[in-house]
Amino acid sequence: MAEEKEDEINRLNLELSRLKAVLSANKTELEKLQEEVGILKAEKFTLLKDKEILSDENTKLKTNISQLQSEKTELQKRIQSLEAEIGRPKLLPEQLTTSLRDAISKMEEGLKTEGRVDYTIGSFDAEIKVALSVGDENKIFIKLPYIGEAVTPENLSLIKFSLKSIPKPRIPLIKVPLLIGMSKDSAVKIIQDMGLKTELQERQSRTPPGTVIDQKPEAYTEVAPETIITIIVAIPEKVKVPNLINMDKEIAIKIIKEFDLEVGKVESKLSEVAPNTVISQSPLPDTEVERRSSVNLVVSVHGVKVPNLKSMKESEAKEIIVKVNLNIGTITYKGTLFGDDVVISQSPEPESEVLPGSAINLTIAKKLSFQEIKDTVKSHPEAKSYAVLLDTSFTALEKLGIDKAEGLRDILQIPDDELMKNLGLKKKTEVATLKRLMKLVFEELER
Amino acid sequence: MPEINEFMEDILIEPLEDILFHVGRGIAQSQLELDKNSLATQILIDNNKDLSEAGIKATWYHFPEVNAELKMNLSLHGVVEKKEEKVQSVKLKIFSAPMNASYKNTFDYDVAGASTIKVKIVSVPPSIEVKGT
Repeated sequence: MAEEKEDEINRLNLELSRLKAVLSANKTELEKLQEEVGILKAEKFTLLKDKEILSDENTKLKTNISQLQSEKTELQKRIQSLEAEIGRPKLLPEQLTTSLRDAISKMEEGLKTEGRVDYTIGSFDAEIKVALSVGDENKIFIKLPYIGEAVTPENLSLIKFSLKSIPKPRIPLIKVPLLIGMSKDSAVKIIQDMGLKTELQERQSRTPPGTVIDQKPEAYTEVAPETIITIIVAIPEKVKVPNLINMDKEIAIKIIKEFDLEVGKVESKLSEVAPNTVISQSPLPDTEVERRSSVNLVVSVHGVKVPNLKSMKESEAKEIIVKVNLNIGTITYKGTLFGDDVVISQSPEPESEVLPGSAINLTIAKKLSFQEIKDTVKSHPEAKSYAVLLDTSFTALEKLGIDKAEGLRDILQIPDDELMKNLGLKKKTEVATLKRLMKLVFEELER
Repeated sequence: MPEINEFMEDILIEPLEDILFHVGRGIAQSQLELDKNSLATQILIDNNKDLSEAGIKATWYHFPEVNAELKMNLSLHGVVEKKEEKVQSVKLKIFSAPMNASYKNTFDYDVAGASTIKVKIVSVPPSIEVKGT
């Protein structure tokens, strides 16, 4: 029992010592923990302090932020107003004056009246409130407030313009002269010499063409230099030519006169239609012509047959011409060897049909005298170098009694030797030359 | 405000030159009316034997001098000049809004900031030029 107790005591002692050991360990642990608590408490205190500081700073910062935000808004406003200022239209002083000039001229335009009285701007005073600013190159710009913009009048500058009109010098007036009745050229010269201008207009009138019949403005009106004076000049009145074709000549002439026209040339033309009928006219019907201009007519007529007058005596031929209602035309005389005073040719030819009264030209043969034949031979172009031969020959012929034209023709038949002897020529060639020349002249005379 | 401003701009402001043109046109029109009135009187006299025989003539009036003082708020605006729907140029023009109670109240505008244009218009003797007859 005792042993059991002892064992129990020992076990309990052991337990006690273990517990003591545990207790001592826990004690140490507790001490450590207590120490840690102390540290943590100190830390907590520090942290609380820090927190306090931070919350103070937070409050301060919040205040700062709100201040900065309000500053930002201010700045934004300023930026906006500055941007608006930059975009604000601005003018150079000269642009302002140009604008005013435009405005004044527009006002003058508005003042123009069609009425009795004219108005003009006597003076123009402008007091313009502007804001001035200096731009690039130190140029001054003029700015104006926006519509409805709140402005502080003290900040605005005042520009005063005062403009006065200068009356134009009065231009001396010119009295328009009376030009009616003058010739166009004199009127124009007078007008131009006076420093005026002319404009010509034409009007049909019975007044002689080229005469001034009206003028605008009227005579004695006072006008400014360079004013255009309109001169109205007469031009002949125009008439339509009537149709006269197929009318009797006398009636046509009457109508022409009734139309204030004149009868021009009246020609006859061979035609089948009744005599004295108008077969054509010039100008043609309906042509517009000046008053009193001539109208030419062609009238029909029946023709006359030309008689054959050849070989008739001149007086006989002339008598026949007159008898058949024709006229004697040119009479030409042609020297011949034979046949005196007879018609050798006529124009127009026999049997042709001509207008009554047409001229008939006649060629009448005229017998040449010995002397005339001699002169003709001597004056022949080929006879120039044979003057001596011809003189000798004609003298010899006269001596031989051959002094008539008829006889001369016969010498061509005389043999050369005989002729040479009779005429006292020395060479045969002379006879040949003489015969050749005589033949040439005779042939020409007989042609 | 901007919307009101734009609206007011549309109805209130006009180029300065147009306003002055209308002032001038107004005077010219008034003269024309005066002349018409005198002409009507003259026709009346001419048609009345008694009056015309008495040598009565209508009186013709004209304004020897017209003074206009225009108070206005001037502002600058770019005017777009177009040709065949294409912008040719933008020209700055002076626009003006007449100063009056309505404008002053609408915009709370200080009158001291308004510009003034004083114009004296005078009559001149009838034109010496002979107009085409």
